[in-house]
Amino acid sequence: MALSRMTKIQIVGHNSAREEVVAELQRLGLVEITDLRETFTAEAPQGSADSQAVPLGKDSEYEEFLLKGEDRDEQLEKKQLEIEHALSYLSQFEKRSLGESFFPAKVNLSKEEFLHIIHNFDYAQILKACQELERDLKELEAKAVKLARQANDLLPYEGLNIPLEELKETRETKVTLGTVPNRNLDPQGMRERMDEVTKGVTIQVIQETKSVKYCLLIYLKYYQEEISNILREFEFTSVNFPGLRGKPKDILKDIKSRLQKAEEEKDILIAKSQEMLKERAKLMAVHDHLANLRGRKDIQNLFARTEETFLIAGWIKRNHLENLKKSLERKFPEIDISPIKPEKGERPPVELENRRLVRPFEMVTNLYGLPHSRELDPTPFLAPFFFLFFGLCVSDAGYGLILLALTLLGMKKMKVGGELFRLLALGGVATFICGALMGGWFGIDVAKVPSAPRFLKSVVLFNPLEQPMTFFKLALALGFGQICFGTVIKLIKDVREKKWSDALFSEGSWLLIFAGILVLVLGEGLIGPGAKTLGKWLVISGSLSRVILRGLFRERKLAGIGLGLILLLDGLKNLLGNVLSYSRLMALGMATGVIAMTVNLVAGLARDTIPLFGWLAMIMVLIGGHIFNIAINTLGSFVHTTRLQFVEFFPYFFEGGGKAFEPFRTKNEFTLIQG
Amino acid sequence: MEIGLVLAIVGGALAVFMAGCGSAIGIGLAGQAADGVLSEDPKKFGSLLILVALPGTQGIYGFLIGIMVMARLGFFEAALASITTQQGWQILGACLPIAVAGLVSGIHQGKVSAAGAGVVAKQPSDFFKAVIMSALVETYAVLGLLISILFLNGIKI
Repeated sequence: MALSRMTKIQIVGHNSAREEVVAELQRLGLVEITDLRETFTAEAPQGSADSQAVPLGKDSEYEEFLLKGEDRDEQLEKKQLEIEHALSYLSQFEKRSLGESFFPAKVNLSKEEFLHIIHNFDYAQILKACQELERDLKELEAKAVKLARQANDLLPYEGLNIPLEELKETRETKVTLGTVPNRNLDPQGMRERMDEVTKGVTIQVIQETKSVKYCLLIYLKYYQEEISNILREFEFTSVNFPGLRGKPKDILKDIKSRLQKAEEEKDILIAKSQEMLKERAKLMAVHDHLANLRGRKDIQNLFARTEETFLIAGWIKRNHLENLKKSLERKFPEIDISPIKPEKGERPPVELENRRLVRPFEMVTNLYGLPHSRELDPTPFLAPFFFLFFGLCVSDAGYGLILLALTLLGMKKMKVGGELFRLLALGGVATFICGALMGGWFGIDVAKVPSAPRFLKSVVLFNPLEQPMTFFKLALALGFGQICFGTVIKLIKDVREKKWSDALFSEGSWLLIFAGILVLVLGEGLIGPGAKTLGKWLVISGSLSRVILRGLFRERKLAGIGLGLILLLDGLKNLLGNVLSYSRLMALGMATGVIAMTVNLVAGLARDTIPLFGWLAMIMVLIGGHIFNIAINTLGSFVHTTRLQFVEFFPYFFEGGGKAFEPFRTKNEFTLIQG
Repeated sequence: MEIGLVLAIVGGALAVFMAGCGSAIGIGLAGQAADGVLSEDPKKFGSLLILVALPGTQGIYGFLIGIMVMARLGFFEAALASITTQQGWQILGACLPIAVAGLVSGIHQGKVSAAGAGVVAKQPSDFFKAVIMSALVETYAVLGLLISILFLNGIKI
């Protein structure tokens, strides 16, 4: 239960075996390969005298032999991108349930099926069909948009009973269609001004809206200059419909039928695309295969290479080293695998390794960031607290059972997100336990139900609604406990790292102070007479050792005392804030109970007030309300419990900053291959 | 109706509608940002939904206090309790922590969630870190709720 132990290794071999070695490394998935492009200093391997690892260095005389530059397979990349594109095109036609949009399911394939697909499936043809479908669909859509715009422009002139092609100028007259703002076409406005020029202007209003009038304008060419000036002044905008023939009404009819036809064609294309969906699984398999081939190609750029040889450096879990040697050296007798010393300042990658029950909680640690390579894994420390806090936040036995059932179902049905489901299942168990201890079952207080089984009543420790202060004290006590625990971990860590003065003056003093506070809080009733004095002196001695001893021994000067004092006060202030922060456990726990009660109340009202269908309404309110409450409280509890670990607990001991161990291996984005 | 009862009802109403307004504004802000991301990548619906839902808790807390006030006033029983003016003011005061903290924290949590939508867009794997950031704001609504509950429980009727 800690971090995996890592060893750095190097692999040297002849180029003729390179591709196969890479393929084998990918299949095994045990080695994280480090980038040798910048620093290829491979020190002579320790121990094994027979290996002949060449010390390669930037400044070494061998540098000229190193091959430079990227090696890429553009053909492969292009194919992969095309498949990706086709997949994303097809995905818009897929029908997905709400569950799948949270956890997109992967395609399940057996190894035989997978091999069969990648060897026999003619994906080029599918890709071509997809591309054509997509292009046709786009064209159709563009056409439909254009038609719709035309119809929109023409619609106001629907009442015009003249074919558009006849609206041409004659020898003496000018004919134009256009719009003019309403306010400008009153008798005092444009009309009057035109009458001043000539009485021979015809303005036929075809249609009017609140703001503009659509009109047909006919006037003599003789007055063209004056009239166009007036038109400009009154913001007349002329419109043209080039290429359109017939009466607007008929044209509109025609456009409508063409739009309908386009819609029908679109439906056919969509149906065809949906038909293609059945090829999607195969495309996904090919995509994953190509991506892995590309991964093999790309990783080789991290190697150091010469004309004839290659050199790989990487990290492997110590207990996997023998395994790797066996499988690689059997197949490729001429390559050499040997452990090497990491470079100065180089830190091994980190992987968490925990017992089965603790493993789901690794997710919480991963969310925050991994510990660095020499640190303790915080997962086992936070696991019991996380479990308990989650339970207290939801705190309803009935909800716990439902959460457990749902997550077990989810684990069975979905192939991904397993760790989250396992964590939530544990949360369900915790919720059940805490709920039973507080006597809450779907918002019903078990003590108030006379027919409830006696053992359910006998396990109830307290009722949060009747004794909120008990809950409050419990929450703060748990917080205080977790903070003390965090300080103890820091103490152990400092001892391990031989930071004696920190361990003694910092954590040691704090633990004295914590013990004093504990004695003071528990008081004489629990500790016995003299508790006050004992507690007082524990706090005082802790504070003194924190301030004075630290100043004298660690800083070796009196000024250290001032710093010590500031740190002491800061620590006390943090302690207060952090412990109080745990009160959220109580608030969230009570919130669940009260909302559940409200749901029951509303359901009861529904039954009593709605005639005939009262029972039906009650059942619907009960189911909907409780599901809503479970969902919102599970989310809230998860988030706040996690926050307590990150913000309140971790700062006491955790540093973080580790880089995750990412072995080079087969990665399948869409498929899950069994066997 | 006695003035005390009126004051108490006003208190409960304040808790519900102020905290509710906070949540409504917060979810509104977050929802707009989330829709922006969604228009680019509909697959992120699940993560975005959680982010957008986060500022919704203030409204629930306010609602909860409202129900507690109603329970204390006897709305779910045969007759309403008789409340003195002093008790009315006490209940009104007890409702204020969640009312004000809910209103302000809801809005600001919405802003953090809206920014979190950007995290979901650019770094989908760090989605939960954005959730934690948003939840940091909620702490103060939770504290308001806590004090409101404790006040309401402590007032003698």
